[in-house]
Amino acid sequence: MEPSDDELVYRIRIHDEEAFELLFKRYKSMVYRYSHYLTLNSTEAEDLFQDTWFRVVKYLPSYGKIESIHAWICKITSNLYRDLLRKKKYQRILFKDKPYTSVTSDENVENVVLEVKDHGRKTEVRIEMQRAIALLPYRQRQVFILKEIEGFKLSEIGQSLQMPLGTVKSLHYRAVRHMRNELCDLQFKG
Amino acid sequence: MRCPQIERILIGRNWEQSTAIYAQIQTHLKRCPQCRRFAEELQILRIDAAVLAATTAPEALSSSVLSKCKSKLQESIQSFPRQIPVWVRTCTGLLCLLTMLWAYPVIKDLVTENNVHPSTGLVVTLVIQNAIMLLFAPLIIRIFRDRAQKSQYWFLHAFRRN
Repeated sequence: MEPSDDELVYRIRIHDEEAFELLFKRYKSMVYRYSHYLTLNSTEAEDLFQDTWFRVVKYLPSYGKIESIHAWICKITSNLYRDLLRKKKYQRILFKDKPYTSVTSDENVENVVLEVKDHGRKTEVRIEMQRAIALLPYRQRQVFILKEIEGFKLSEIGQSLQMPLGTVKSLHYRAVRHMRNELCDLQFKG
Repeated sequence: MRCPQIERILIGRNWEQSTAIYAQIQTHLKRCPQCRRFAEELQILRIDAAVLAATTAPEALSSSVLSKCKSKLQESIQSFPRQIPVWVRTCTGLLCLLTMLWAYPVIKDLVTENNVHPSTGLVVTLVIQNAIMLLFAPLIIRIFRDRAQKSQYWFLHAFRRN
């Protein structure tokens, strides 16, 4: 029988490597998907994935009560991504770098599509979905990924993103409407 | 129910749980082609989102991250104090001894002159001893926790090792 999340957390707290491996295997894809669709860039997603797990190792043994481990891990990823965005913004200000391109810019959307082609996933749905996700504002994108792709409960999303439930509901509603408008053509082509 | 309300409920996903709301939505969808289209599009969107959920972490990346994490976990065990440090045990012992030595003449006087029962004296001693321990406890815990990489589960580890 598979051990529950709570049991794994308890075992990791007493530095059980096997328990950590089980937790890692259970949630690695979730963390990767979340990182990938947040950053929409393979290199950044891999960095985010790695940093998230390093933080889990560092802070899980000493962290207080965790209600939902997957929500907690996503919270770490979200915080790291927010730091990354902040760093990029400061780099632009300090070094007068080229203007910061958010993922909503057309250039980045093209990159997303190219990356998908490089990985050999050429299905139209996947490409169009990624394009539409890239066009979502940052907070709506977070909520959409967690709710529609990862299947989180709204309360868990609230925990992960440190937002009130009402805000999560509203962001989810706007994200779905946005996605629907973006994907309208695709749906009626198919 | 109005169309915007229906849209919100359909997006919210929990409308199937309530039979009353379910019936109301079904009635509305039958007579409103706009909402029916919205519901169909939403269903397709959710099917498409499920396609994205099939993405998995690359094997090379996950195995390298896992091995790094394991070594980090191992490092944290090695740097972990496996038992209560000797200086903490010595200090606690000295404190107990001093308390007993200090309390002994007082108790003896009380017993001989005022006819106090020795068990009362013992209780007084324990109270004083605990009071002193409590006075120093935050300091000891803080030092110990800093050394144990701020782990509040050090005792679990100590039990496991022993």
